[in-house]
Formats: sequence, structure tokens, C-alpha cells
Amino acid sequence: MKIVSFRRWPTSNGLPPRAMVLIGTAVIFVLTLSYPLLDINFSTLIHAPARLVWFLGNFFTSPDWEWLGHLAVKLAETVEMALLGTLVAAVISLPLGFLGARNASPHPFISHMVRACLSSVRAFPEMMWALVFVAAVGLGALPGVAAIALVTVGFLGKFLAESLEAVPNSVLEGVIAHGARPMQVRAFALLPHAWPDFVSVLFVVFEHNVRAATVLGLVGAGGIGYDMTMAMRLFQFDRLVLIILAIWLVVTILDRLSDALRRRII
Amino acid sequence: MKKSPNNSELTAISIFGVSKKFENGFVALRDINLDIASGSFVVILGPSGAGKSTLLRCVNGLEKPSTGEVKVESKLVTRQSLQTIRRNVAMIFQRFNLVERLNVMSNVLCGRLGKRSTLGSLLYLMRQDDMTIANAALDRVGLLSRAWERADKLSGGEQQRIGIARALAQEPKVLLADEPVASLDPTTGEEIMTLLREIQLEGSLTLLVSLHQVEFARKYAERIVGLREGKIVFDGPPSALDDVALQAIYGRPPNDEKFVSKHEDSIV
Amino acid sequence: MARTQATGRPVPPPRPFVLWPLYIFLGTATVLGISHHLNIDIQALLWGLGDISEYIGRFGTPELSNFPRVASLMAETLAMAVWGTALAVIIAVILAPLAARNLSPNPILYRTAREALNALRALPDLLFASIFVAALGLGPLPGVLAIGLHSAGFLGKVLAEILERVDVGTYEAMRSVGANFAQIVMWAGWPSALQEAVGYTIFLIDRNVRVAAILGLVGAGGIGMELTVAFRLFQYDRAAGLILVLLIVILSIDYISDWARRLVR
Repeated sequence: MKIVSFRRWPTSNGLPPRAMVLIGTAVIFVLTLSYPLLDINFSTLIHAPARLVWFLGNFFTSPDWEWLGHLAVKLAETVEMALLGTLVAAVISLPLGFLGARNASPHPFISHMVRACLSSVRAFPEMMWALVFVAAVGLGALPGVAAIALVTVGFLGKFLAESLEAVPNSVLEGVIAHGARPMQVRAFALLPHAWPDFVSVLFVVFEHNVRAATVLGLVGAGGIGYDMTMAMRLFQFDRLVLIILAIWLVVTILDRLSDALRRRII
Repeated sequence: MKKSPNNSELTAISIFGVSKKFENGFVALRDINLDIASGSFVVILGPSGAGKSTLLRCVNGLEKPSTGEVKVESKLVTRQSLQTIRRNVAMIFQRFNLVERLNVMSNVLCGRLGKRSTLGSLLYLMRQDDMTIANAALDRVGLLSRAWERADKLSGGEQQRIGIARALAQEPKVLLADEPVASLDPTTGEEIMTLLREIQLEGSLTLLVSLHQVEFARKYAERIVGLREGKIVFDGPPSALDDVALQAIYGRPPNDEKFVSKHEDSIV
Repeated sequence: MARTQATGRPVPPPRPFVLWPLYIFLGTATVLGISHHLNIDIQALLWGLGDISEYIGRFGTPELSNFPRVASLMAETLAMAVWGTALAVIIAVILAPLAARNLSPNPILYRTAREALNALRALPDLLFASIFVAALGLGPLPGVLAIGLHSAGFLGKVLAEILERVDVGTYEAMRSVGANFAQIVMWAGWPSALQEAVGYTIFLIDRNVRVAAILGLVGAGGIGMELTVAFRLFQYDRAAGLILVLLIVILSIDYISDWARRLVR
């Protein structure tokens, strides 16, 4: 045993594991390298906490209760957008999932193409698509729903394809042995296996979509986000407080609800 | 490990009027009174669900008795005294309970943590004297050559030896072993029990072991306490453990081979 | 329930699909009802599909004349994502052990940590960003803070769940050697959770790059500002150029993070 003077790590050479040192150095390297890009000078950083506290102090006002009715309507609209987007996306992603799964697709080339499309759709967040769609079809809930649906198709399609590929081969062989035709094989053997996972992930996606829908109004794509920006611009803290509390409440409730539902399904 | 033999006559553990009722209503212990002499090897024998584990866990405060009190080295086990008491009481578990992703040496060094609550211990910077103690403990259980392997790469018997080394690294006065051989095959179990007895004799430790195997209890114990449905139904030397006593503990004729083997299957 | 039979037995018989017509009816009714309520004219939508090729045509020639500026904005976006993730990791690593049920030192602390993480996760990052922009002014700093806080909620919850999955016996063994809370976390908690935690952190960087790309919408730095402006001024060529750069960067990071996660596993 080597004699090490003072303190050492519990490793054979008394030093931290090499992988850990490497990762740590890499992380610090990237962080220091990228810091100048942020253009944050020292005085901003020093004054930031005080300014934050001052700004957050504005939120301690009596909320604009009169406005609650309008808020409820807007919130309902937001949740509806998420629900609609999720449902439409679920329907569209079913065939795409099958086409994208290697073991269900008519041809490997099709599966590759579908996968590539799905991942490029997923590459951008909902907000980006909302920008594109608002420019195309104008303001309103439609571009918001379309943006949500598009990203959700990208996610659900990939998820379904992957869970179909995870279905054990023996299942397929069993049906083929019964003389079923390829399409029947896919429908009857694969879907029941992938279905429970698909449904349970739907809840997670819906919850995510509600959160996304709350901000889409920033670019005029419907929902509570528009009121949020306006309240922020006009410094209407009495409304902003209500909006923040409402979003927090709705998302938390949906989160718990989807947790409970998922536990019942799985 | 340095313990003066002159207080071997003192009581190491005294359990007074301890009952334990769990939140789900299950009563694990009913009014247990037990004094364990310092430096003795005591086996708590009983079928599964008799409350053996709960009794042991009351001694080092992993479980809080519903009523009654436990004293270790004449110190009352309370929330406040827990940290001090656990420095002198080590525990060995049925499922070893190692940190599987850490190497063997780190697992043994865990035994030193109770005595080193400094910042260094949070950054895995170990003092040389702790390393020396851990080295000695690993050497004692015969696994020094494998110090730098990951704990989950070792076999069950070896993992239990690491568990024992971790306990030794605590330099305890009292050693608790909760079904230490229940997850091991009979030969390995025999080895572990022998090792425990040697260690107990070398350090004149107080060793409290819960077991369900009658043969092991007979072979190793100085004193056997029989537990059934949370009550002490037998207390005496191994020689006194006759068929009547076994019937009291297990509620069945003990020489019924079928019963004994079936029972062991259900545990392992 | 059509739970997966791990036995590898040939197909279970098709389930009795008695309820699915009802589900389809309910789904259709919901879709139509909501569309009506949100004033989405499905007919007009179908009609408008014809115009889509014309619309896409507008993006036809991606303009990259000011590439150096786009590149520097992209670099700023990446830097925001990296620093935001670092902030998130720091917050999550502190809060997660408190929010893990079998590890937390006391119930009140457990509840507080859990609800704090929930709230961070519930509020969208753009909301955080606009608050920080209003308080601290334009620039990447509000972006970093917004990304950090929101994804700390996500990462903290995930890490707490990973810590909860560690065998209780391991924590009990640590308690019985007299280790204190911090020691249990450092010696039994993180070593057991490290591998999974690193995987999720890599995933988080990936996600945060996408978020950083849009935070510019509210003035919180990155490439998003430029993109909004391009759309507002109907400069589709410029927007196409920006989107192209973004797509390439995001997909390559996607690829790298997939590779890195496989490496960790």
C-alpha cells in the first residue's frame, strides 16, 4: 500500500477516479469558455439580487379579483388548446408510429424517412412552430393548436415506434404461425402490447402541452399567454399575480390528476 | 476492538418493557424484558415474523419502541443520544445493504463516517488513520486483495464479509446481526457464523444475532432467546434448548424434517 | 388489461374491444366541441391547405449573408443553455435529497422541497424569462436564470425519484453507522444515483438548447430575438436562414447527446 501523507480518496491511487476528473474538467472548461459569450458583467451580477427583490416586491398587491372571470375563460381556452392538440396528434401519430417502427413498417426505407421527419419536427419547440403558423394563418388559437399538435406528433410517433420495436419477436412469430397476413400481424399482435404505454404517456404529454399552451399567446397563438404579456408590459401586477397563481394551480392539479390516472391504468 | 475485559460482567444491552406496534396495527413486540451481558454471544431464535428484526432494530434506534426503553452501555436510546450510541453499535444485515456502486474499500470506510462528521468526509477525503482501520478490518475478513473492486461484483458471502468489515471499522462494543446468513448457502453461512464468533471473541464484543436456523443457534450461541409472536418464550443456554422449548418457539414438533426445511425455504 | 406478458408467450387473444366505439365518439365530440369553442373553422382549414405550398415557397431561399452575426447569436444561445443547465444542476442537487421521501431528514422539509420543485416545474420558462427581463433588463442573464430555475424543477423531481428508488436498506445501513444526513447523501445517495442522474442531465442540456433558442422572444438573449424580428417584418428569407442554422445545431446536439447517453449507460 502506498503511503499518502495527509488525506486521500478511497481509490487505489488515492486520487479521484479518472472518469470523474475528465468529466469535471470538461464541464469547467465548457463553462469558462462559454462565459464571455453571455456578456454578463460584474456590476449587473452584483446588483441583480437587489433589483430582483425590488421587482418581486411589486407582486405584493391586492389582486384584481374583478378580472377573475376573464381569466377563467382564458384558462379554459388554454387547456382546450392543449387537449385538442394532444387528441389530434394522438390520432395522427398512430399510423406514423407503425410506419416508423422497423418491425412494422412496410419497408426499412419508409421507416427511416418517417423517423427523420418526426425528429426534425421535434427539433423545434412549440413556440417556434407557433411563430411560423401565426405568420401563415394569422392570430388565434388555430396556429397554437397546430404547433402543439405538430410537436406532439413528433414525440408520440417516435415513442410509439420505439415501443412497437420493443415488443418481443416471439409475439409476431406466434401470429405468423397462425397464418395471419402482415397487416393483421401488425394490428393484432403489436398494438395491444404497445397500447398501455402509449395511453399513459398521453397523460404526460397532455400535461406538458398545457404548460406549453400557457405561453403560446406571447406570439398571438391563443391562450392565457397573450394576457400575460400585456399585463407584463403594462406592469399590471394585480393581474400578473392572478395569472401566475392560476397557471401554477392548473398545472399542479393536472400533474396530480395525470399521476393518479396513470397509476390506475398501469 | 480495544475493550477492557473488566466490565464483561456489566450489562451491555438492557431492554425494559419494550412493545412495538406498527402504524398498520401489526404488533411486533409485546412487553420484552431482556438484559444482555457484556461480551456474550446471544442468539435470538424464532420463526419469521416473530419480531426478531424489530427487536434488533430497537437497539440501534432504527425502530422506535411504542412503549418501554432500551439502554445500550447504560445509555438510554433516544433521538438525541442516537448519534453517540450508533458509534458503539454496529449492525450487519441480511441483505448486506452495501452501496453497490462504491468499491469495497469505500464501503468499509462508511463505517468510519459516524466518527468523522467533517467537510472532508463529504468530499471523500479520508484521513490516513481511517484508511489504516479500514485496511485492518478488510484484512480481518480476508478481502484486502479485493479492496478496489466494485462491491456488486462480489459474491453474496463476500458481500457479507464486507458488511462485517464495515461493522468492524466502526470499532463497536456491540455488534447486531440481523439474519446474517439467511441469504447465503449453508456452507457460506457456516463460514460467516464462524467468522462472527472469532471476531466476537477477539474483541470481547457483545454479539446479538437473530437466526431462524436451530442448528446454527445451538452450535454458536452462549445464550439463546426464543421469540414467538413478539414474546419471549425461551431464554437459556443452548443445552436447555430441548424439544419442549422448540415447540414453544415454533409451535410445531421441531424434529419434523419437512417442517424445518420448508420453513427455511420460505425465508431464503 | 393488455399488459405486456414478459413470458414471451405467443399472443394473448385480442381483447374484447367493447368500449372503443364510445371512446372514439367521445374523442370526436371533444375535438369538434373544442374546435367550435375556439373558433377554429375546420372547413377553412382544409381550404387553406392549398395555400401552404405557396407559404412554404416564401422560405425558399434561406439568406445567410450575415452569417457571423447568426453564428455569434447561436453561440450565445448555446452558452445560455449550458449555464442554465449548470444552475439547474446545482439547485436540483441541493433540493433533490430533501425531496426524496426515504432520505429526507424531516417531513416538513420534505414537503417544502417537493412543493418548491413542483412550482418551479409548473411555471413555464418563458414566464420566468419575462419576469427576469422586466427586473434585470434585456440580455442573456435573465435567460440563464429562467432556464436554470425551470429546469431545476424538472431535474430535481427526477433526481428525487431516482434517490427514492435506491434500496432503503442501503440508507438504513448508513444510518446505523451513525452517518449524518449529508454523509448519507454523499456516500449512499449520489453514488447509487450518479449514472442515471448524468443521463438525465445530458437530456436536459439537449432540451435547454431548444428552450434557449426561443427565450429571445421576450428579450432574454439568444437567437430567438432575431427570429421574432424576422417574422414580424415578414423577412422569410432571413427567418429561413436562422431556422436552418438552428435545425442543424439542434439536430447535431440531439445526435451528440444520444451518443453521450449511450456512453454513460
